[in-house]
Parts: sequence; structure tokens; C-alpha cells
Amino acid sequence: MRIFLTSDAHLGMKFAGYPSTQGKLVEARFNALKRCIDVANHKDCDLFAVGGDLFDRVSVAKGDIKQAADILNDFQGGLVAVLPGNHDFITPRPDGLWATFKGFASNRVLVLESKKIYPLKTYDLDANLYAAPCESKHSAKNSIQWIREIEKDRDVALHIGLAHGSLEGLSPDFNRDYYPMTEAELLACGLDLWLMGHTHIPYPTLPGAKSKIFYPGTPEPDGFDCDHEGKGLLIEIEKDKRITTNFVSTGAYRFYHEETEIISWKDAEEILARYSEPQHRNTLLKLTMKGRLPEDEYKKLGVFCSSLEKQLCFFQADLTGVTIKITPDVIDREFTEHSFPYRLLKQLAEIQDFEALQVAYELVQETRR
Amino acid sequence: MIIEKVNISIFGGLSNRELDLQEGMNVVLGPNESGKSTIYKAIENALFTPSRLTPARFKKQMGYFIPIGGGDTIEVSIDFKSQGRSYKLRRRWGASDLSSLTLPNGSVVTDDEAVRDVIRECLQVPEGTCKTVMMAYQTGLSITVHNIRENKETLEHLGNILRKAVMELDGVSVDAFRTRIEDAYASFFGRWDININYPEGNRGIEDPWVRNVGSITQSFYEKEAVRIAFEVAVDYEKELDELNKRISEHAIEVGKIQLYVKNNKPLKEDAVKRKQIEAELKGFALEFEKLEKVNKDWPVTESKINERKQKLPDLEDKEKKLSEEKQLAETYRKGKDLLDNYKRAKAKKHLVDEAEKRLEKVINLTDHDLKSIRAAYSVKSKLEASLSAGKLSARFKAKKDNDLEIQEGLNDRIQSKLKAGEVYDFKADGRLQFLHHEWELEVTSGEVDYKQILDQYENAKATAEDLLHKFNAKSLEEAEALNAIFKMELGELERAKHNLEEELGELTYEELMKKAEGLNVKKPDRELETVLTELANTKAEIRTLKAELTELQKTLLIYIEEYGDQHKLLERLAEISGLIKQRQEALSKLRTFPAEIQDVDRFIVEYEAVETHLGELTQEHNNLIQESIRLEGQAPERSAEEIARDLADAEERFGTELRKGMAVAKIRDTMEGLLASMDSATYKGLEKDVSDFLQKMTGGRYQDVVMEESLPSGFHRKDGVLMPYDNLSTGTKDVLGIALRLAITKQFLDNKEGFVIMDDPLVDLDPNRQSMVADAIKDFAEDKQIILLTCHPSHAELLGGNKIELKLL
Repeated sequence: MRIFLTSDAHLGMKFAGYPSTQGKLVEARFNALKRCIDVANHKDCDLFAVGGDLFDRVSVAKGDIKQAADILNDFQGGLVAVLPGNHDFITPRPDGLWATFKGFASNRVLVLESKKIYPLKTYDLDANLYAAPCESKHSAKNSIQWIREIEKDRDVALHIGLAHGSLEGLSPDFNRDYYPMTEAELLACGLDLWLMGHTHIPYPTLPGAKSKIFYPGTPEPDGFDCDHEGKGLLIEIEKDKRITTNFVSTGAYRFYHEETEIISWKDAEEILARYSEPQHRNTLLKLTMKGRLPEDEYKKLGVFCSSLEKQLCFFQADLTGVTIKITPDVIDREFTEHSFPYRLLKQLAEIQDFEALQVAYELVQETRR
Repeated sequence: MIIEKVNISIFGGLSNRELDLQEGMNVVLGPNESGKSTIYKAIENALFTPSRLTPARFKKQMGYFIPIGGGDTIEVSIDFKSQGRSYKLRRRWGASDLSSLTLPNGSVVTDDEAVRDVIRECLQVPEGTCKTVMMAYQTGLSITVHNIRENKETLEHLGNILRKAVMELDGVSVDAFRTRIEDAYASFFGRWDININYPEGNRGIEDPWVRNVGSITQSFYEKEAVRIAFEVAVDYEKELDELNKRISEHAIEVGKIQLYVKNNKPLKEDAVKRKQIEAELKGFALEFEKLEKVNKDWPVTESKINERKQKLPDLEDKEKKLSEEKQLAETYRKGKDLLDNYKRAKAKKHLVDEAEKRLEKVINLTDHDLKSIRAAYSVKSKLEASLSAGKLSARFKAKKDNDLEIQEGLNDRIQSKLKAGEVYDFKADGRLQFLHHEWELEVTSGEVDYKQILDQYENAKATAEDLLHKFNAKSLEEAEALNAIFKMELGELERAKHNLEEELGELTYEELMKKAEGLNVKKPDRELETVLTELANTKAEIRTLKAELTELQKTLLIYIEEYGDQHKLLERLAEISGLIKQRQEALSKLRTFPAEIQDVDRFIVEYEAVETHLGELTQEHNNLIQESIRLEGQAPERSAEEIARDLADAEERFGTELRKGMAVAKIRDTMEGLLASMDSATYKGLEKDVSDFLQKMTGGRYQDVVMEESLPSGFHRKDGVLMPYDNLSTGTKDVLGIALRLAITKQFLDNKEGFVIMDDPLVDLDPNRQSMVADAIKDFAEDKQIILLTCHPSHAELLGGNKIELKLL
């Protein structure tokens, strides 16, 4: 059986912090999901699995729900199985998110709303899905216990689990709020394969022959804490239950957070050169620079930032850590001993308050006749 | 450093120009546009501008000196001495740059940094100081001096001038800087309390400042707004989670109960049916039993009725006969009673007669009579007591014999013969009377009217005796005894009369007697009691029979009313029997209870309670769903995770603003500290030098500077008059500017060798002053190299020294 696994598309995210590219980022998530479907179709996948958090919230707009359903309806394989995650959890309201979604989805799109076995024979797939959907945003308990206790039908070839939550050792879940699971717990359920969601980074990084637990990662990066290009996972299960996997790049945008110390202007030029390459047209860069530059180079920072803004999709710079290199030599060169600016700048240089020194220097220059 | 030669290869409008300079005074004379400022710039850049410049910097800094005709290179060389050793500096800027400094030992330094270091060492003052103080072409000091000359600054004390002049050597106005820093501080800290690290007045986001808000406060509010949005999102998600959890748990509970209801409903329905059927069966059984009973009872009742109907006439007949017999017996009894009554009455009559006879024989001393007697005796006694009151005692002694009647008190008179000479004592109560045939002596006690009382006594006594006599009694006691006898007999008579009356009843004795004598009744066969008993029994029997008959007839009527007739009753019995069978069949088809349910009623009650509870839970569940719909409708537009990212950014921005603000605060504090220390710093050396120079330049008109709290406040004229600064003339103020310049230069150069470039210092002075100032400058030149630029030949004359003439370019 060939499976395409994706999760954490978070359709409906607002990206309000990126006003200049907000619309593009919002749409990119739908496009990424579409790319996943396209890859799954191209690879003749039998099952398209969404491991949770297809939507960012239970209150997403109806238009977004329809758009998502339309994309998933295009899958040409046997079945699309969608697991509600902790962002788009099951709600009891009769006209809620999933009820609306099911209204738009085709009959080959199955929402795994209950903790139960979903036999896939009706979809011509010799497998049972064991679903562990989420019923709330946070939970100290996971939803997989029932799977351990239930008897598995040995007449069915494959037993596949779908769960959404944190995995010990992989996902940061300090308060154990996000349906925490351990590898041992998952394996103890006795299933052939676990299709997971919640953690946005792909796992395992290097799948081995015995790997059974898989997180595809988000298909489209969603913030500066996501350093990959958006991933989906192709899974092939042989008759002997041997599993091979292949991560597929699916995202359009990249988020980079660079924190760098600039020693000379060359460092800035290097950054500029790197991000001027064509592949960075869809890059969002958050640049934090620290360091001290000579005044003439410091004055080039404005142009540096403007250039990057033009090159990149989104650019946010924090250059407050960069100051003019105002050394005692510079002060000696520019100011007269015993003069007010000389004394002031010397004092600030002595205490190594470079930020104050920079501001004082700039104010001195401003007030200089 | 002493500059010996300046060789301008190409620089600005000058090319291939060589200036030979000497120690001491050097005057560069040239008209305007002859290149004086170019020479200055050439010297300045040669000393301080590195040859390796970025194209932008070259263009900005040196581009002005590219000759108009074209070219891409400018070059200047300077030969100088420092502490007796010779150096040669060569600088070239542009397309082919060069920095070359030949050291005294012949080695050459070409690195810009190294060259700079050597020059710094040779100058013995920092570059900035050199440019400002020594090479004051258009520097701050000149501006200060210019402002002093123009009196643009309102300065009260010369001390302020000195301080200001020193501090503002670089053209940075302290006041302007202070204003600038205060503005910057305000722009950061507007409405921010730096002590509590919070908006002033504790006005957080709930009550934000609107006006005069600095960037720190602004970014704080922005951060807080995001934080509130984050908290709202977190609280919302928490609330929704809790609600959904409640709904899930509730759903589980509802599910369990629904399962119970589902599993037990058929059982309960059957139980209810069973109860119903059993109740019907019970009812049918009761009815069947009743019908059976009626069925049995009906003929019996009819039979009984007939039987009683048959028996009744006989009994009534018997009753009649008995009544007649009774009458006879009663009549007989009445007669007998009458006779008995007469017999008794007669006996009692006899007793009455006897009592009457006895009464006649006794004295009829009634109670009334006795009372009268007693009253008389009482009066008499009282009177007797009165008479006896007062004890008298007398002693009688006669001289001769006397025959006397003596009455002592109320006693009878006693005839007594009293012998002469004998003493006789007499005692009496109330009265003592001696009666002699010749005399009478009565002695009474003086307390009462004895005579009156005595008369009364005699009357009372007589009355009592009369009464006694009437009844033949001799004494009161006897009278009482007579009264007792009379009363006894009277009592007897009355009792006998009463008994007789009772016996007679309403009849008189004569009537009774008459009736008794007229009776003629036959004695019945049986005693009346016997007859009465039998009559009563017969009547009772009749009553019972009638009552039974009535009851039986009533019962029969009921049967008839209810069932019509016996045939119909039988039909009904059959019907009931059929129904019972039917119900039993239905009962057998119902589910049987499991063994654990012992008490069916209890099971039904419990089931119904659960069913009711299910209804309540279902309603509760619907309410919870409605609540969740309402809550979902209030969902924030973004998830908490998205807002958290914005919050991190907002916090970073706030932190940055705060950091920048603190930098400004640091500058402010440092500045204030610095200015405070500079205010109190003394410029004693400088004041003295200014004073000396001023004195020289004014021909001794002003002798010294008056100090006020370590700052000069005015000038003492030669004649001792204190001239405050404001009162100085314009010309004197101009001279002061030059004096200030020279004094400051002297202060900085101190004992070091060095050069000073001056630009037309005498230009605004009158000839007299020009001469004095020129002398002062010449004196200065004895110690330091002066390179003075002027366009006035007369000034050159005055100054003397090494004259270098420039022609127009």
C-alpha cells in the first residue's frame, strides 16, 4: 500500500505579523496542500492521510473549509482519511467545523471523528485505521489507550494508527498539555504503522528499516521557528510489512532567522549576496545583527536593509545591536581634548556602553555647528 | 611638531606649490582666492586623511580638491620636525593612493594606520585637538569667539565664556546638546516612570496615556495589547477545552444511561405490562370469586327469604298471644301490688298514730320557747354580772346587838343577829345592804347604777321564772331536757308521716284503702316475668327475622340490579374465566426478570428514575452544546500560538525601545555629572593666561580678571574700577576672543612644541589694537610656530616673521 502522509497544514492561519505578504502566506498553505495531493496522485497513492491540524482553528471561515474539501476531493486514490487534531478538534456542535467539512467533502473523504476502528475494505484497501482524534485544544491524556486494549482483526492485512500529539523526546511539551505520547506507548498498541501529526518538523530525520512512527512535518513553513521547506511523506508498505519512506518538499516559502555578529562590512556583503540569489524570492528573513562598524560602513546599513527588502518576500531587521565603532582613537581624531563631546564620549567609551556611546555620538554630530 | 615645508603637487587650485616655513611667525599673505584655505586643507588632509579611501569617501571628502580641469589624483607632501627629528610625509589620494612617511632613520611607513600613529606621536596632541585648537580655521572656537564678538551669547560672567569656549571647542553647543538629549529622553520616556519601570501613575493598558506618550510607553501599550489578546485567546481556548471536556464526559454519562435505558426498556415495559396484567388478573380473580360466591349465594338467599317469610306469621301470631297473656298478668300484678301497697300503708299509718299519741303526752317546749328562756337567763346573767361587778368588803361592829337583814349582793336577804362588840366582815359583789327596823344601809360599788340594774335584774329573773313555770320546769336545764324530749317525739312523728306518704304516693290513705277493697283479679297461669321474657324473645326473634329478611331482600335486589338474573350471572362468570385465561397467556409471553432483580416494583421505580434523569441529562447536554456554539462564535480571529509569536515580537520591540531609552538616560546622567564637575572645575591657569594676554593686548588697560567663586566675573581696570563683561567695549571683546584663542592654545600645547594656524586674527581690530595684538602674537610665536593667513599686507608688516606671498590662482 502506498500512503501519502501530511499534517499541520493549519489552513486559516492569519499571518497578521506579516502585513506585506499576509495574503500570499495564507494562500500558500492551501497551495501546499494541493501540491501534496498532486504528488500523491502522481505517485498513485492508495491512501492520503492527514494527521491532524488540517485547519488552524475550529472557527475558520466556511470558504476555507470548502477550499480544503475541494482540494482533498481531487485525490484520485482510494481514500482521504482526515484526523481532527488539537487545533481543529472534534466539537459536539451539529453545525461545527467537521459537519460543514463533510458537507463539502466527497464520499471518499473520511473524517475520523471517533476513537474506533475504521475498516477500509469498502474503499478496496485491506487495512484498518485506528483513529485517535482530539476533542480539545489541550489534554494531559492521549487518545491511544483504547487501541492497546482492543482486539485486532488478524484477517486484515494492515493495522494503521492515526494520532495527533507530542512525542516524548521530540516535541517540546513542558506542561504535558498536548496529548503526550511515548514511543513505547505507541508501539505497545501492536499496530503496523503510526501516522502522526502535531510536531511541525519531519520525524524521523533518517528513517530506519524498523521505524514505524512518522511525523511528516508541516507542508508549508509557518514561522521563523520552522527551518525546513515544508514536507510531506511518501510511505510504501510491502506485503511483508517492510516500510520505506521518502520525504517530499512541498512548501513555497522559507523562513530564516539569522542572528549574526558583524565584524566587518564583508559580513554584511556576504549576507546581502546570499539573499540576493533568485531562490530567495520567497524567503522571509528575520535578521538580527550585532557588532561594531566604522562610521562610514555603519551608514551603509540603511542601503543594506533596503536592498534586502527589495530582494526578499519579507524582511525584518533588528540592527539595534550594531553600533558605530567609536573607539578612543576615533574620539581623539574627531574631538578636542577637554571639550564637552570629547569628555562625554570618552566617559561612555570607558564604561563600554556602546549603545549609549553610539546615540551620544549621533546626537553630537547632529548638534555640531 | 614644526612644519618646515609644504609641497602641494596638485591639490584644489594649487599645483606644484612649495611653502617653506620656519619656527616662530610665518605669515602667508595672499588676496582672496589665492589659495590660503587650500593650503590649510592641504596641510590638514596630509596630516589626517588616510590615502586609502573608499570611492564614496574619496568623493565626499577629497572630491572637492580634484582640480577643475580633471585628473584623478591629488598629492601633498609635508616636511616636519618633531623633537628635533625630521620626517617627510607624502600623501596621494585618488586612482593611485599613497601614504608614505619617511622616518628620521630613513625607514618608510606606508600603512595609513601606522602613519597616523606616528603623526599623532609627533603632534603630541590628539588629532581632534590639533584640528580644533591648532588648526582653527573655521572651528568651533572660532565660532565661539565670533559669537562672543557679536555678543550673540548672553553671558553674565567671563567664567561662563571660558567654560563655554573650552567645552564647545568642537562646535557642539552644550545647551543645544542638552536640549537635544532632553527631547530624546522625552521622546523615549514620555509618560514612563523609570523608577517603577511602568507607565506613570500606574496607568497600564486599562487606562492608557494618550498625550505626550514616549516610544517606550507606546511600545509597552502595544505589547500589552498583544499580551491581552494572547491571554484572551488562551483563556478562550481553556474555556472551550473545559467546556468540551465537560461535554465529552457528559456524553459518556449520557451514553451509559442511554445504554442502560436501551437495555432495560423492554424489560421495564414488560414489567409494567406484567404488573398491569397481574392487577387485571387479580381484579378478575376477585370478580370471579365474587361472582362464584353470588352464584352460590343467590339461591340460598332466595331460599332464606322464603323460609323467613314462612316463619314470620307464626311468630307474629305467637307474639300476639303472648301480649294478651302479658296483659292479663300485668293486670293481676297491678292488683297485687296495690294490695301490698295498702298493707304497708296501713302499718305505717299505725306508726303515725302512735307517734301522735306520744307527742300529746310530752310538754311542748319548742326550740323557740327554749330560746326565749335562754335569752331571759342570759339577760339575767349579764345583769347579775353587772351587779356583781365591784367587790365590796365591810366590817361591822356594833355596840349593841342588832337584828338585821343582810343582803350580800344579789343573795337573798338573811336575817342575822349581830352581837354587840363582835366584828363581822362582810364581802359582797356590787352591793351590800343592811336593813334595820330603824335604818337601812346600802352600799353599792360606785361603777354602776345599781338600782337600775337591780330592777332590770329582778325583771329578767321574773321573766325567766315565768317561762319556766309555763312549762313546768324548774331550771333552764330542765327546760332544755323537756325541749329535747319534745323534739325527739316530734321527729318520730314526722318520720312516720314521711314513710306513710312515700308509701301512699299520689293517693291518699282513704283512696288507697278504697281501691284495695274494690280489687277482683284472677291469677294467671304463669308469672308475668316468664310471660314478659317469652314475649321479649319472640319480639327479638321477629325483629331478627325481619332484619334478616330485609338484608336478604336487599342482597337479592343488589344481585338483581347488578346481574339481572342468575343466567346472566353465569354468563359473566364464563366471560371472566375467559379473560383470566387470556391474561395468563399474555403474561406467559412477557420477559422474565433476571435472578438479580428480586423486587420488580423497585426495578420499575429505578428505571423510571433513570429515564427521567436521562431526559434531564439530554436537556443538559443540549444546553452545553448551545453553550459551545455560543463560545465558538466568540472565537478570536487567531490561535494563541499565532498571537504568541506576535507577543514575542512586541516584547522584543519593547525591550529594544527600553534599551535605547536607557542609553539616552545614561547619556543624560553622564552629561549632567560631567557638566556638574565641569561647572566646579577651575580654569585658574586659563584665567591667568587670558588675563595676561588681555593685559598685553589692551596695553595694560585691564589688569586682571576678577574672580567670583573661581570664575571671572569682570575685569579690573588699571584705575581699579571693576568692569563687568557686559560693560566691555566691542573692540575689547574682540581682543578677548583672540586672547582666549591664544590662552586655550597655550593650555593645550603647554610645553610641547607645536604649530598654530590662524586666519586673519587682526581683521576686525582698530590699528592701535592691531599693533598690540600683533605684539602679543609675536610673543606667542617665540614659543610656538605660527602660520598666520591674511590678505592684509599691513597685518603682515605688523607681524613680521617669515612672509610667504601668494598670487591669485
